[in-house]
Amino acid sequence: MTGFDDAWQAALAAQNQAIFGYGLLGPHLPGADQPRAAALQATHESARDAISAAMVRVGVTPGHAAADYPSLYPVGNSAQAHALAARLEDECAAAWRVLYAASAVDAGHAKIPDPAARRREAQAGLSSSAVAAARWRKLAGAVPASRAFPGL
Amino acid sequence: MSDDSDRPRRGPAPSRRGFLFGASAVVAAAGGGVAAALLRSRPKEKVSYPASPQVLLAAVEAETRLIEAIDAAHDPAALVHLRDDHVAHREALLGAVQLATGTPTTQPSGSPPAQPRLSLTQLRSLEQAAATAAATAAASLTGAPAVLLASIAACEASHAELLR
Repeated sequence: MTGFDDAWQAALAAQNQAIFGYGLLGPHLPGADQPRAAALQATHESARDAISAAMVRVGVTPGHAAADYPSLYPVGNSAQAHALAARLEDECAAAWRVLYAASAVDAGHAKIPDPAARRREAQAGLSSSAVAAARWRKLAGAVPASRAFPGL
Repeated sequence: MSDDSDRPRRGPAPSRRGFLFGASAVVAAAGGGVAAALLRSRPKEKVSYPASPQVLLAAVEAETRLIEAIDAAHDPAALVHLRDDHVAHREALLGAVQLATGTPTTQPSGSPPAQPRLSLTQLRSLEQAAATAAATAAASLTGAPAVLLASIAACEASHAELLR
């Protein structure tokens, strides 16, 4: 395993956690927010599938999702659901940022499959999660809703 | 008008640059941290840095323009947190320039050019464009400066979302 492989697997693991987490928190959200949660869950499923497929193409075995994520409990009301949604996205942002860092090395320093593609994916994921986290914080009335350095 | 010295800040601003780059090096491990460490190891040498300082200085200017745009918005008080983010971006970018060149860099202290009053929609467009530009700039760099710009791009995308 290389540092890049670890970062790649961590990005995949973050997607798996987010997919599970949205399933957990969704029923506790106000009805108006549930379509947003479903859409974001689908976004993370797409990211999971894309990462897994890219790994398989280069002979890397994708890690499996956990059967449960005890650290995400309890979620018993809408406030906790909003907070967990923001946390899931913050943790995805952190994983994407690490993957970006692992991909943004000088050519020849590491063996990275299609580093430009990995960077594009990581940037898209980082921005997407930053946007989603800010949106959840805004819905929860948290101030400030943005983070100056998402993923840090 | 654009002097940020009297604005409230989030977090320990004076040490933010060091924290950011220290954290980047740790997080990036074998990736961007390598470049950051290399930059730190030779701050006094006269070395040619082909692209990085120019790209970073352009990003500093972009942050300054965004701060000025917020100051010129119809209700700047409502946008103080977005402004704080841009001030933090500018500080971190100036720190990155200093790491790359070994020379402290400051922003010109003159009065900013007069800005037209901007609507939230116009400001949103500026933030979105800044996010795109920062991501493009990040892709042209390697190491810690690339990661810094990637994170700034994500922040500015979130600003655009918050201005909806």
